[in-house]
Amino acid sequence: MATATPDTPLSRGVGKLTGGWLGFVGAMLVLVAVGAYAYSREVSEGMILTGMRDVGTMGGATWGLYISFVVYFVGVSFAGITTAAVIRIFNLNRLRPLARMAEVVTVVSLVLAALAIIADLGQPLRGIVNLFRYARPQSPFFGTFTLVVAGYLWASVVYLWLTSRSDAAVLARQPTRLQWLHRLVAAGYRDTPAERERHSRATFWLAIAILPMLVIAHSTLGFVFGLQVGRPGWYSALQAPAFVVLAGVSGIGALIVLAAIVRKMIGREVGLDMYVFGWLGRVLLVLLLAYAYFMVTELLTATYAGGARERAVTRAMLWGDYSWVFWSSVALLAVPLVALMVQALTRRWTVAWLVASGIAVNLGAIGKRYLITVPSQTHGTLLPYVEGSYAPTWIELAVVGGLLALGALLIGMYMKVLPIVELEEEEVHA
Amino acid sequence: MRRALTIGMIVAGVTLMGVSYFGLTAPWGVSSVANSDPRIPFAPAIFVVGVMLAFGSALVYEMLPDRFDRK
Repeated sequence: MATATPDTPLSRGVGKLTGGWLGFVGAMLVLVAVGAYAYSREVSEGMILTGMRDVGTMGGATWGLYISFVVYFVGVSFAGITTAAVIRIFNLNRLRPLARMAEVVTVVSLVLAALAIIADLGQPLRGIVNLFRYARPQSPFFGTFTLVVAGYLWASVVYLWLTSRSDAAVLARQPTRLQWLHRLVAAGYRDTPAERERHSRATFWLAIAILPMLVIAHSTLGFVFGLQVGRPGWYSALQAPAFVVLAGVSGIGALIVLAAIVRKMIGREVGLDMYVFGWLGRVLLVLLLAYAYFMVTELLTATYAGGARERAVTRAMLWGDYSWVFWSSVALLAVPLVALMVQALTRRWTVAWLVASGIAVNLGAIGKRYLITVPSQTHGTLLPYVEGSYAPTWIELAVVGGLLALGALLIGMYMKVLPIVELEEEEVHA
Repeated sequence: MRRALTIGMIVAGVTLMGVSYFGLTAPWGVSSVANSDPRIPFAPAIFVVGVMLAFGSALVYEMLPDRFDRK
């Protein structure tokens, strides 16, 4: 019988550092460093280095790429924790391999959302302190930043930790270099029947509590735009529900891509079979159909009998300055919709098409978040200002690129420290 | 002990959320700028503490050592 050594590989590729993985980490670190440098320039020289300018008087937009990505990151987090919670509440065992990676995606994207908010603030420290000092519950910002960033992130971290403990306890039995860390995460978990029972009950109720909170939290982020009566293009009852549905689209798309990467790295025998991908594909298809309905409804309302400023914003999106973003986003959402529909009707799901769809819908979602955020500021002013413009500078692009790289890095590092796919019952009880 | 502590944390968390949201932050139904500050400073932070306390109860429920149950 072989004896475990500090170099013994652990389940699910934990602790196994390949050349490819190290190259990936190196590349991501370079991007993070470029982002950090760009942010340091922004902090030291001021927001003038960004493309953001005052609305109206300076013909610009005060919310640009950063806020577009805040909305995008929060959206991705929605599908992650929803998938994880639904799997646990309804005991969907065949989908269990998705649960852990969905939880990780949620935590990482919420961290990125919080960092993107900080990047958007000219005085980050003042912003954070004043938020906790003066925030008004009547404002949707209160719900967004207290529920999303504080409550939701905290609840997701608690949930991820509790669900990771049993796996960490199993890994901690082996004398590897990571044993200290696995013991730390396991925090005394010994996998007794009483502990298993408690764990099952705690995660079940936590999942139940998280679901309504995340719908409220995500809706309030939609309300940040949808309740602004003085901003044509934003003021709409559909903002909150459409926000939640597009959040589901981008999150499920991201989950498909991550699941395919994990399947490639650690093999399909961990349960990431075509049933799992087919399920994700069907959910993505339904969400895309729902979003297409919202989009058509909103466009019809704005163009059929909208006010003059409402029509100006819509015109800028459909035929003006933002038309390339709009039509690209529509194509990036419509092509996957058709591809998924064909796969669903023929009942032949292919991972390559699903991954392509996952990437495309995420690019489309980023475009849609940009269109929700920017055009209403440059073309939707009710006062008689000339039409404005906004283009992100390299500083903003580098910061956002750095954040995306940081997210990929955090997920990549998690995979080498703890199993990104839960251990099977027999592995835990071996 | 475990159950009592968990329920206590949930109740305390929800109470803090309710009291800070409706009683300590800026008054509801008053639109004047003079009433836009919270009634006590950092009332929103109390709300956040309430949220964290309520969800943190899951940690206590699951991680409190067994000996606390026997007492």
